[in-house]
Amino acid sequence: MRQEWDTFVLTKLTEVQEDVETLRVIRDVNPGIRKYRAQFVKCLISRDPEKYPDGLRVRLGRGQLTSKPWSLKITEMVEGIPTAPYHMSGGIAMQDE
Amino acid sequence: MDYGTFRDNREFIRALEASGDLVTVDQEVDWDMELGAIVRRVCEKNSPAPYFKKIKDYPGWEALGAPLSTWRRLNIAMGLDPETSIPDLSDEYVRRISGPQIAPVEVDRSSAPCKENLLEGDEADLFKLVAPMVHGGDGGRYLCTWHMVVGASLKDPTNVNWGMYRQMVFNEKWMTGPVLPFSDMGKMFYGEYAPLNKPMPFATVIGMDPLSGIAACAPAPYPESHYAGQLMGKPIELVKCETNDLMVPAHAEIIIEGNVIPHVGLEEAPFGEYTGYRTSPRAPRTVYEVTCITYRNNPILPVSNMGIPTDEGQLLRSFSLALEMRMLLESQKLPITGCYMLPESTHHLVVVGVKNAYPGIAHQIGHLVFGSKLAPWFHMVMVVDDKTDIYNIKELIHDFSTKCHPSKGIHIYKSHVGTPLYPFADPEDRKYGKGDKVVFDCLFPLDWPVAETPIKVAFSNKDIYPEEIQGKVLGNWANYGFKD
Repeated sequence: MRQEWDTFVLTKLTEVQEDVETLRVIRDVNPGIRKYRAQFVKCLISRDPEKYPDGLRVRLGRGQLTSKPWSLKITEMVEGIPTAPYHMSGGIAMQDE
Repeated sequence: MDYGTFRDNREFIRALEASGDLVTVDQEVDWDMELGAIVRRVCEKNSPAPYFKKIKDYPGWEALGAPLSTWRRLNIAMGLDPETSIPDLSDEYVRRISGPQIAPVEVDRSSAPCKENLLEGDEADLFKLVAPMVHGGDGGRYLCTWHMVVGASLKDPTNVNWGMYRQMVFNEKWMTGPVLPFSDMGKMFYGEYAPLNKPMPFATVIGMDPLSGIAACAPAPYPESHYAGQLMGKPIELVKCETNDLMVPAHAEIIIEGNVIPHVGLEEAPFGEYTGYRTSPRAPRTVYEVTCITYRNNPILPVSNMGIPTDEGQLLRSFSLALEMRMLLESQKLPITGCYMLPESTHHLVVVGVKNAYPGIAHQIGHLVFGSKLAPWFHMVMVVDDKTDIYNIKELIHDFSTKCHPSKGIHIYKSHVGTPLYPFADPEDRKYGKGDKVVFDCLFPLDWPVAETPIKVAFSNKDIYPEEIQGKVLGNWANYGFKD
């Protein structure tokens, strides 16, 4: 079933890498008592809202919701708090590690 | 001496109801923004505090919005007549905290309502608590908006701090929020625990009695539990936590216990802040890992909604900061008439009334207050003379725009301590917590010849209307036909 998530991007949107596995924090925005729960994930994202199985809404640094929906594929749920610094403003490209 | 203050939040709610300062909302409200929107509108309209009896998804949970966002509610919390004036309230507050400290007393857990329910292990799940989505666009659900975080020094465990540090729910076990390095908790955590890679035990107290909340907001120079006792005129009752040695108010609604984790960060914010803006960006902030939750039956969550004035952060922080400044300046024997921080300034502007006794007195005031531990929280000082009513905005605007010289009357202090929350700060200053300060000197220079010094034209000025004329006019005011 398609899930809905959102994420915060602090860089220019044009700098966000698509179709590259990144580590980022996403929030569950599905209705229910766990709405807005945050989760570290490795994922692929796309500006094409249909490319990946889940929906993704993008917010800017002060919470501004961007107008168009994106899509997301979670490749790994990451447990714990990553000790390596991760870049919130677009994720860390796993290929750079 | 007991000042007729309240042992817990519930007694306070009953008092607000009795005085007409409460609206009971029986209709179900949604924790996802609806509740927050109601509280925001209450703050902007200075409406009575909303007491929410039914919240979507959380049967048995209740919430109290805007508990202390008006002067009336602050007066009630202090056990005073709701119509007590700000100067009288200020004098009473200073009188209480100038007396002997009142140490808390420990009670057994069987006498502590906050222990009525216990969640441990996997059961200690933050989503079981009714954390509201306070504003649209917030970085998460803010469980803790009117609360206090209890922590103790590693070097001296008797040095216990109560402070109000916002906390956002990240997931079932983690909360996150900013702990600025110059704050009391910041000094403990970053200065003592983190260098040794030690977790710092914490207890978040939600729904404590109102004066403990005020104590937690105040820049108290000694343990806030003693400060709260002074305000109440009786010792506050504390009980030991379940999973650490910290002591918490026994009559609070909810206690969250756990550890602050060093050397990691979790994304937090944005959040509608006390300045009236979402200013600080989403960024990695301090991590609180939860071990245990206790709460009262039918718990009542207090919700403060920060935004444009007036919310309790603005009102209470302004009030207590100004009074700490007043005591500081009085301790230095400066001839001040009072200090008033305008809540509408989101505690950024303090007005100091002073007898214009010698040249440079405005500078001296600026140096003293900017040199104190209070300084990071404000950046503007307006110095007016002893004839100006510091509580009267009309008089202050008149003084500012007529007596403050646009260059000689404005004294700027560069590269001072600031906070990342200043909306006007540029990104670099915000990143490093820097902030410039300014004094607006609204005193006529003493080196001006008397004949060159302007005279204020006001009815009350005896240089304009002699006493006998004033008396005659006042005595005949109704006879002239005026009804005011």
